[in-house]
Amino acid sequence: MSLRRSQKNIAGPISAVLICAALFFALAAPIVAPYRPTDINLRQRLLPPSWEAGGSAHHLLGTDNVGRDVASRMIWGARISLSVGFCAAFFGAVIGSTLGLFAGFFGGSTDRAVSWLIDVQLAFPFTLFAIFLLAVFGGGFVPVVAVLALATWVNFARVVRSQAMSLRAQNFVLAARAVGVGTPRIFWRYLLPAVLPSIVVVGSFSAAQAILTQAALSFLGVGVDPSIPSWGAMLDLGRNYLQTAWWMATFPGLAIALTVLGANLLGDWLSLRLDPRG
Amino acid sequence: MSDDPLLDIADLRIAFDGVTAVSGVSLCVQRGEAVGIVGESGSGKSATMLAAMRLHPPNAAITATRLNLAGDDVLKISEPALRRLRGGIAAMIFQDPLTALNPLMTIKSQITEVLRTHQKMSPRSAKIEAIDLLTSVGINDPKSCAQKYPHQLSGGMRQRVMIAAALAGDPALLIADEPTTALDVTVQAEITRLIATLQRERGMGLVWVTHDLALMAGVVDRVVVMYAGRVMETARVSALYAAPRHPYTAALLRSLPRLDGQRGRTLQGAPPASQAAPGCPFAPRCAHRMTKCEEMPPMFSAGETQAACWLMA
Amino acid sequence: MTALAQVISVNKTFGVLHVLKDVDFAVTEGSTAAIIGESGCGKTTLGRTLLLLEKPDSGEVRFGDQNLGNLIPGDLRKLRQKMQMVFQDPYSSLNPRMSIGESLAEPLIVHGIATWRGACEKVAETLRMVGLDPAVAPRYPHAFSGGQRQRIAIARAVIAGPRLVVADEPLSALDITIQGQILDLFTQLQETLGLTYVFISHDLPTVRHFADTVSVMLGGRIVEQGPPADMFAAPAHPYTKKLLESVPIPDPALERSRLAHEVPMQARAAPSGAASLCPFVARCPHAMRICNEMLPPLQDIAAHRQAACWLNGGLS
Repeated sequence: MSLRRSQKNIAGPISAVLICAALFFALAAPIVAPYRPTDINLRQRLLPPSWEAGGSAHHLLGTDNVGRDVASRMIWGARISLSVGFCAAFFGAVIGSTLGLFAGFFGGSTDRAVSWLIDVQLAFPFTLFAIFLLAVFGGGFVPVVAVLALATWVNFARVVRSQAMSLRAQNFVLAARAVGVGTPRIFWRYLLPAVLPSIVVVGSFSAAQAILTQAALSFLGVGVDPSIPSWGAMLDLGRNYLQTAWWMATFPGLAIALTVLGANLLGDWLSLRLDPRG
Repeated sequence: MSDDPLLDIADLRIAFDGVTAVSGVSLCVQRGEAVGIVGESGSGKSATMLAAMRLHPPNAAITATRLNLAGDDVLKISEPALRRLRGGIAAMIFQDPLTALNPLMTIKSQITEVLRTHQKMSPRSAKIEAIDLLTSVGINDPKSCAQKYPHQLSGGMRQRVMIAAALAGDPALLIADEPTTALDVTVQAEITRLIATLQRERGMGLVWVTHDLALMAGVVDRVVVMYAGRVMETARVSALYAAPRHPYTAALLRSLPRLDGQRGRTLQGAPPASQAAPGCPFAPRCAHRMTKCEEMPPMFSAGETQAACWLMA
Repeated sequence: MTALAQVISVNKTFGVLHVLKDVDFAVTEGSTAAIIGESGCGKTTLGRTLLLLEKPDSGEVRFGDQNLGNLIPGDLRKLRQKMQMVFQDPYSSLNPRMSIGESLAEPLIVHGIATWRGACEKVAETLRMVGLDPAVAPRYPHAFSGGQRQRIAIARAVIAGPRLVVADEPLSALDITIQGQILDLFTQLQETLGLTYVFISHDLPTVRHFADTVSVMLGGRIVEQGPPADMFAAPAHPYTKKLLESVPIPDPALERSRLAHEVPMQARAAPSGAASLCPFVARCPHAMRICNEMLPPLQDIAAHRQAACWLNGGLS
């Protein structure tokens, strides 16, 4: 009992700090970022971080190969990562939860169909498929979100389906049917509120997964529009300069890691808070 | 030594996270004596017995003038002594045998484990003794039963197995916490008979905790009636049923549905939500309520009956 | 006497478990019919089948003169207003995320009796009828005690004006003194609202006073049926007799002697015997050769009394 309590204590505040920081930067980018992310300044290229020899106070975390301020690009990049992460998780949740609810509650052929879909997708090497899809349709915000939503819906569907199956047999659902409550209301007022905590928990983990995958996709060159800075694209760029300008890749990498950590910790904390019986 | 009560509780108080559950309970059980503890939800009867074996949850704050089991202070003894006590001196059986038995161990293993811990038997002797125990609790095919897992047995058989496991330590005191509540009525009668017989044959002390007064009538020698964390009446069983001295006991007896169809006046109201209020906790529901009841009455005695009621004064 | 609700020759299997075997059951309007039995006898399934919450594999379920199996889902749902259920466990039959006001208003909304705003009045009135203060409507189920939750569940069952209420072990989870209060409430509501009850229980003493007829179930079949006073005084079926003998009596001397003079302890064997024989044949002290060959039909043995036993009423 005491171990769980301390876990709750650490995970909550830390994830709150990390997520809030990321959110803050994403929202306040235009005000907080010292430079525009696309400002090229060839005379200030490849400057190390300010605390290193040769660094400049004007560029806290240094500049990249065409003189763009790393810190500013990171701040602006938060927008992409967080919005992709959130949107992918949201749409994945909507698709996955709906299919899961229908499959779990109705059973029979609906369940067989949805379960088959889940199994097919899980058996598939999804990342390769994602790259293929994006190569065909080109990158860009909407295709990337769509592909990532397709990647995560399965997580929601599985969890929601099994919960719906057990809820279906519970007394309060049976009692509602006995009263004459129609199926739409049962879904909306009985099932959905009961599965919502699980959806939120899976959602935070899915968002983390989406952010990571998006970074990987950008890294592989099939991400969002390369002119908009994203952490993954920065990593991709910085890859070639690891020996000479380590800061170009390290800081965006750190940003990815911390944001994903924050989302995962949030998921941990939420799962303890919302579902004490596990 | 043998004059000392087996279980001696004096002024036990238990609170869970600040909420009082037991407000000063005193009772004793002599060697070989069968005592029934009856009470409804919130009476504190289960909490009292769990505390007697130090099985209470960690958030329980317990104080007592005396909480002795076979002469040892339960709250103060060491861990090894406590382990010897549990199962060896006092054994407990619970309401739901499915959750009390280990689902991953065969019946045989569960019983031999107790035998080897408390009676220090060799594996072979333990195996033979386990079969004997299963027979003594009325199981028809003990060898086949021993090989099974708890979920493969019926509710009644699981309860018999739990009793066998409890007896395996050769305890001087058997505490049964609502052992038949989850069973069908025909099985209930069989298990009640079984426990009564075993108790008499082995000369064990018995504490039977239940909310059903009718159930314990043929099994126990004395009854303790609890309400809202306190003892309301203690009496020999025949005296209690024939002439209850406390209004709550009388109301409980009247509430029992009877096969001949007669039903007494229904007791209205519900047990108090908290035990913090001063005075007799039953007063709000009592037909004989007086102004004096604003002060908690002490236990008055009349022969072998004791009741906490100003009417007895 | 018209049967308000009945099942005719229903069979129900859950996987390999044959839970209802060719059961005929009816309840007349305005009366209280009790169904008694131990766990696994099928009484809960029978209660649910009466309301078509469980679909039988074969047989008919009727309410009034309607065959429920012939109704389209929409019409069945509307008919539910007339036939309601109270469940055993007041803790689990209410939606923990709905306030009790909402839970109570729901039947009114669903059956078009009131709007969300107009329902307040009826909700308050029904709460008062079951002995609760209308001010508690905004609270959630976890804030109430077991007895109070059962009152809420009963309120929910009667608020839309049903004719039939099936109560599945409504007292089992409650303290003894509270049981009496809830039973009084049932009686009172029956008088005020003209309800018909099907009362499922395992507790014989409770139904002795409360029910007009009692049906004893065992192994998915009804083995005896009749008015409780006569049946309990002189049971016709050996299983009924066994049930009656198992009921503890709050008389120490009597109980002690009963416990002493008993047949040797027999661990109850798993349900044995073919599914098409009398369900009590394995444990019956009066079993005859014919009992191992043929199923006794449920037949009249006296006025208003039936038993399914080859002794044919010869037990008493």
